[in-house]
Amino acid sequence: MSSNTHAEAKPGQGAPTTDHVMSVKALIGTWGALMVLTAITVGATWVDLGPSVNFALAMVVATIKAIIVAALFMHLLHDQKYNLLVLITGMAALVLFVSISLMDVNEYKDDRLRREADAPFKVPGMSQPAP
Amino acid sequence: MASEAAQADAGHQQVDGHGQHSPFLQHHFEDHKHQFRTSKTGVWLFLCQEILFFGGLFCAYFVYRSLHPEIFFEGHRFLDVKWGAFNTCVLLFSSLTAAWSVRCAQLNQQRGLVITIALTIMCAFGFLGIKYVEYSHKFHEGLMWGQSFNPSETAFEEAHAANPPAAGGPGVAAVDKPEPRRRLHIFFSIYFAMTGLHGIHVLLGIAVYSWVLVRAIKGHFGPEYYGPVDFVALYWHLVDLVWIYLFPLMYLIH
Repeated sequence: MSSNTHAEAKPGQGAPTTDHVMSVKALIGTWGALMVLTAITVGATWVDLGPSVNFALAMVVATIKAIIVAALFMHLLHDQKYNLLVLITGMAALVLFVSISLMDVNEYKDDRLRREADAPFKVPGMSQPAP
Repeated sequence: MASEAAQADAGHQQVDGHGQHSPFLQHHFEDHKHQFRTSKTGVWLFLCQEILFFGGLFCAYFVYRSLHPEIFFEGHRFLDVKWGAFNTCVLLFSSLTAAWSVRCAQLNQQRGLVITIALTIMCAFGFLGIKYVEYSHKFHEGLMWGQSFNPSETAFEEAHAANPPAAGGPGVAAVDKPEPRRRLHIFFSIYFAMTGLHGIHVLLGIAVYSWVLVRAIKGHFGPEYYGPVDFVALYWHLVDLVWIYLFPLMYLIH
């Protein structure tokens, strides 16, 4: 017991880690990529591609950024696969939750919008603009 | 320490009961790696819960936006893209410093560890400072949630001057109709609920990072034991992830 217990070393500062260490280059590169993608997503709002294409583009860029953060900053690329499984399970549950809700809402969308148009809509405390 | 038995005995005689091993290693773990991996999976399960926690609000957002896209188009014009983009950069930079702090702990760079954690906390305060500027402007203009929504006329003029709708785009029709205005409070309810919950997470991030900063200054962390640094960074990256989606969903509606 000499190699990993230096006299001056405090507890916890012992043997070198065997876990994956991100290099400075990888850290700066990851951050740079995220900044570039942010610039792209802001810049894309000045180009009119139609609302659905612009929306899809913004979501795709956000998802690429999310994957970069999860894989590199959050070490999932070099981590136990079990943790990745936990994340994917959570995301899958979220996608199911939102998509099934949207399917249901869209099924009755026309009906609902018609009812909303018929019913007088009033927000208490707010001055109503002239129709 | 002649024999194993004597060694174990010496361990039990110590006041803290940790014996020869680090006081940061819990007794029920074989070694630091075992402790680290177990805790990390626990943190990931917590993060998974956080995703579902925010998920309810994201669901509300998508359901209402699919029903009334014009309200979201009208609503986003009241938000300042400059502040939103700047805050995105602040959070991304804090994610860099958070990831860097893990590297510093792994390589036993004690000075760097304290600096990167301090930078992360400063960025978190910066983020909240900018949110304060944004929120106070909204409060001043009466752009509130639900029943408190009572916008001043200047709020509309200002928003429309700052973000004129593209010719022939969905905005032109939206401005002419009173309907989006009357339902605009729902946009702000969702806006404040989502950014507010995110802001609370940033506050909690400051709290846990302050705890980690104190321990880092005491020199608790190093290559053998850096779990808390890594776990707080994971939480911080998740807060960043939520903002990565919130920013285009709130500020960049086309």
